Amino acid sequence: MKISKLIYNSLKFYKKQHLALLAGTIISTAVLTGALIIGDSVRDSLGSLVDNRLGDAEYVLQTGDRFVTSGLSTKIAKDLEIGSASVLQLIGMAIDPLKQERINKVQVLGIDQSFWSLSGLKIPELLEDEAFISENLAEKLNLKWYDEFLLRVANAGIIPLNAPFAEEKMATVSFRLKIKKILTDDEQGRYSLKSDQKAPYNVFLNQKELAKKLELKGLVNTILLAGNDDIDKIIIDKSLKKNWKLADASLTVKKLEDEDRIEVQSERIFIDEPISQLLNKLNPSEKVLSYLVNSISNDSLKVPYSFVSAISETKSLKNEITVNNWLADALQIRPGDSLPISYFTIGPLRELIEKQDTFVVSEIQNIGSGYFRKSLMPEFPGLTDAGSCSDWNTGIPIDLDKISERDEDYWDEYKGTPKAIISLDKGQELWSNKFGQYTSFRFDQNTTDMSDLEQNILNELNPKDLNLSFVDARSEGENAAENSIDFGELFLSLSFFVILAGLLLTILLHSLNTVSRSKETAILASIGFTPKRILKIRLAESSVVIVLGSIIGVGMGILYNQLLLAGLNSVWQDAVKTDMLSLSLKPSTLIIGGFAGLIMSFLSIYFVSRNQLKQQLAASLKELEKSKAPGFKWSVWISWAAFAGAIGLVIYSIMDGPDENSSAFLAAGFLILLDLVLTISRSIQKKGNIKQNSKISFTSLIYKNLGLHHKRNMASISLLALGTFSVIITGANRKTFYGVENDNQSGTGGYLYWAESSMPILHDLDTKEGRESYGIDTELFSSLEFAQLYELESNDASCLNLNLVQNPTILGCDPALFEMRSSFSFTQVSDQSRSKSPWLDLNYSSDDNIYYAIADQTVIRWGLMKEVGDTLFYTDEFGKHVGFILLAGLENSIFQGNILVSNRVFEKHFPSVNGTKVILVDGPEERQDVIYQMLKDQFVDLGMEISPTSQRLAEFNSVTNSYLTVFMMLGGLGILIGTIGLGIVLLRNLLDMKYELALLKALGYTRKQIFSLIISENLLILCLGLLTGIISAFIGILPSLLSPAFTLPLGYVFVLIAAILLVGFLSIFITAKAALKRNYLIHLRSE
Amino acid sequence: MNTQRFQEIQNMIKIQNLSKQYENASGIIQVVLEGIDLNIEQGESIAIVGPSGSGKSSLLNILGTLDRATSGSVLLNEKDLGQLSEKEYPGIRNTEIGFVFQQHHLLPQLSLLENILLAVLPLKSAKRTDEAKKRAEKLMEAVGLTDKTDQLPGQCSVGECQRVAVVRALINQPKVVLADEPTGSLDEQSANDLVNLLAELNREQKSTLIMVTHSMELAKKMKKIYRLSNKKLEQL
Repeated sequence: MKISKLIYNSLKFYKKQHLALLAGTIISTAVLTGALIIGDSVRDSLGSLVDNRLGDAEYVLQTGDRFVTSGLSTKIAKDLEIGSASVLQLIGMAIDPLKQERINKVQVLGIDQSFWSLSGLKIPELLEDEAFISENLAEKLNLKWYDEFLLRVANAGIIPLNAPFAEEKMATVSFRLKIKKILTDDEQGRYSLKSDQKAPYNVFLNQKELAKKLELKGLVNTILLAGNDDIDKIIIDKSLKKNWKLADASLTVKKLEDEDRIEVQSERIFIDEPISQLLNKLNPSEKVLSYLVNSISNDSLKVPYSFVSAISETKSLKNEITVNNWLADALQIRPGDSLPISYFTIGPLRELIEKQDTFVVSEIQNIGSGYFRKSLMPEFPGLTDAGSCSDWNTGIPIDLDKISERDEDYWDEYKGTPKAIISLDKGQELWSNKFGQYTSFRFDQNTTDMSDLEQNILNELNPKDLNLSFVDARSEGENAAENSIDFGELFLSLSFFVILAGLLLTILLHSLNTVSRSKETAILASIGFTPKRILKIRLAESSVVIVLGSIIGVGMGILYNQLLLAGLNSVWQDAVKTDMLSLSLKPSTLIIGGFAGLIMSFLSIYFVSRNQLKQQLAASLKELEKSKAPGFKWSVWISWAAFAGAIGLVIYSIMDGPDENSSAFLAAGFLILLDLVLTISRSIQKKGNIKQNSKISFTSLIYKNLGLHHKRNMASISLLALGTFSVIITGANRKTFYGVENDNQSGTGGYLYWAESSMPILHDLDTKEGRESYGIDTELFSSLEFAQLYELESNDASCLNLNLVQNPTILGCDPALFEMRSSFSFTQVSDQSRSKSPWLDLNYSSDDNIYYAIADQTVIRWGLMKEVGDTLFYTDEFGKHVGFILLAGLENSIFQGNILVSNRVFEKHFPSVNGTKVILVDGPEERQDVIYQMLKDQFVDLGMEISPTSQRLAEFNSVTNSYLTVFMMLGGLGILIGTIGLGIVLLRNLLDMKYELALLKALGYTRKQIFSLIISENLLILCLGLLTGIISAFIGILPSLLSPAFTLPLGYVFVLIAAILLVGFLSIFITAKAALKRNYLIHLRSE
Repeated sequence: MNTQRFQEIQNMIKIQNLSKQYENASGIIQVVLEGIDLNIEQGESIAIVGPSGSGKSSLLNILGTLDRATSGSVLLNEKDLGQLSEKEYPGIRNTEIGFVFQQHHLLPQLSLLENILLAVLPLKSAKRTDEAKKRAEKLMEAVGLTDKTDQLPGQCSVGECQRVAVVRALINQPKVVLADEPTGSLDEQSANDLVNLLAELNREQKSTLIMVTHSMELAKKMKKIYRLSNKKLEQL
């Protein structure tokens, strides 16, 4: 006889008990492994999404509002011997012409064949009026191959739309396109440069055709490069510098033959600051800033709309002006006369501010001589090419009535030749703007060689100065996916109750097993086995079962994971905003899951076996009985303290406002739970211990029996109560806001609508002029209040994005407006705050480009994995690093996913961002439907999506709520499994009570009486546990209950409670029924 | 005829040709009792002695409806126990039979008094319960435990507990008291006291007492002694 034989036989003999232990181990291992696998699955799904998004592209150059030549990518690719593609990437709207259904914010991608060949795809070439579209767009608009649809593409140009005198273009350019192919995910239908699992709507067009219509011939704004082991971002940026040309910096260099000069101009009109700094160093002979002024006047004589040039060459003093003979004649002026000039400066959102300055005429020169040359006028599209003054398209209001025939004649003959010259210093003082302070630099042709100048500029200018730098898009994408929300961790916590229930089952089943073998233990001990040896034998026996359970548990975990994935891809899609999650199995995860389940189960049975064996071997019945002496006075004190604490918290919270004190209510609920559990515990003991004049009854017998296994029964009551409490509390924690959404301090800021347009809104809608520019100056419209926000589009850092985001989208806001309205509220404010409101701090700036920013607390904590007080770094339009200190965290707001900075800071560092794309709208609440329809109709062509702010909040809340639903479902499942455990506790109790049951039988108790006794006793445990959980939970969720928009899923709670009652009753009923079939009377026999 | 009828009424227990056999785990049939005949009169006290495994407890369990005979019949107060259904047994056990086991089997969560009254609970009669309580207190006094009625079994000696078990057996004024090795867990003095108590109470209550014991000395305290050996019962 060997120990192994004993173990083998025991396994065979007690196979039923071991099967139960196996089930417990399988449950906990499966749930644990499933949760870990889902972590891998989400991470790997996001990782594989990077391939879908980028194809074979590794490095990406996005030029922002600038454009580079399409040939640049080929040059770099040739230099580095890698694949490349250039893309003209814009934003647009797709419209189904039949149903007039629109999809806004569509990615419009002008591509050529290099785009496909970069990723090794063989896709036919797109001809004029042909398009490929992504599957999601086809599905959304119900489009099929060869269907036609309309595409409106946001008009773009080399000159920033909000630059002074930029011509007012049509907001969009329309295309009627035939669908040549619907691209699958594998065919780059999901192409996107954003780390986001949400699929963009994509339309692919022939690059040349797109560029032609947008007048961007030969220009692109995105370059994609493949990679290899020998290159990195630094090498690519070096190659960019080596291969770029002046055209890539929008610079032109030309000879002014008549003047023996070489002129450097920018196609963006105003020369970017980094370039002008460089050109200043190259010894220019003349620096020019030309500007269109509204009028030059002398008393009643006025000359409208004239160019005035500020040049460095002039000898004029700061307040002096040199005029040409034409102007002197027109205004009848002579040297020494005063000459007022009025002009517009451009404020935010193309706000035109008319100013005036007066000069003293110092000299009169003839046109064509001296300073007055036609070449001083920059190439203003809309002006330069205008045949007459009436054809001007300047971006400022032109009053044609003011233009006389004489003015027309001047234009015909001299075009934009300046009529007056002032000093450069004075000109820059008046007309410098965020786009630059020069319109041209001139170099002496005698001392400067044109090609040398070009080369010098290229040598000295760094593309990074214009924010032209490649990013390692693949690594960033992979990093964002790798560090995405840890679903493994998340589901481990969501599955907490199921794991606990599995372990509880393991413990209970094993405990039962050990108790039922107490005689065997005694026999082994009596024949000389040491307690340690017996423990080892038992552990070895159970380990066989646990190992097997862990292995099966891993397999079941895969199935469990597939169930979870199916849920996430469908009914819980709100939590992940995608349906692309797929199973990913990693041996290491399976091993970890299996071992974790094994270790947890082993530790459980180890402690159970050790304690049980110790009791069985060491304690006599008498000792056990004596140890049950009552006396729990300490619990009275704790109970009263908990009750008093709970009442205190509730009174304080009600007086202070229940909405603000939901956590205090939660604590009160928990204290009530503690109080109730202790009270029940004492009550059972008290009722079970009435000695004097006691009248024995079935009820007192029930209490006395409960008191006998007091600890065990109280553990069941506490677990049931805690489980029910947690599940109901979780349900009530579903975020709601209805009823408070109009409150300025709520997450909506008191605004009615959140509008996001595909095309920028260039004008200030709060001004009459701004409204007129959109032809909407109605009474209702003027009663609305708008908060227009600049947007520097980047990654979405809201809970709708699973990826880890480093640089979320920046919104430039007017902090004073939010402060004035007391909009939004903060959950946390950094101690760095300098003023009474964090909003006002946003305008503070320091010399080192460090500013303050505000973001949603959830974005800071979860989207960015940062804390309030941390700093986010961006690269601005000029290649400079800008830091934003996260000054404060907003309470659950509509700004999830973004960071908010001051519009002043925004304009300074991102001047070319054209207009605003995010607009908050407030107005009379009672007319909100009319407002909605009006906004929708008015801005339909700008691709404006308008949604109630409450709906936007609801969308964010839906993510949290989906997780809570998962928790409630799994928590409910855990409680149900735990309820089965109640049956096992009962079985164990019955085993312990075999003599008592036998005695009751011997005393003449009927089977029915004994059955009722058992059922009542255990139903009481079940009901007490449930009631305790429900009562304390309802105190914990009082704020929700008091809220007019209480959205606790009562149906689910009722179903759960009913299910717990049913499962609990069945497990008690079946166990009691089965147990009573045993012949307990044999335990009374002495032979 | 009348004499015979009188005789039958006087026989509280009448055992005729009783056999009992068990089948063990290997399927082997083991005969424990064979052709047992015995008549016990009302108010009589008898002791059954015999070696271990001779079937003494088996016989007692059959008499107490804790087990059924394989063949033969047992008439208790004219009722053929073998003909009764399982549903009728609890009533017989509760009202007509009182048990005293080798272990006292008192419920640890109940006081001594409650343990006694536990046997009254199935009767569902408040009046009887009140009467029983008074009777229980009287009996407690009789067995010398008046001051311990509210004590838990764990706070009493084994002898005291066993005395309570005797009171519990008598509380419903059964016609028959069956004691299965009632002194098995007691010391000599306590064992003597307990058997004396049983005999005395038997006399007072005029119940029939059947005691299974190893001890001839204790058996001699009963009116008749029977030995059970080789599956047969013989009077000594």
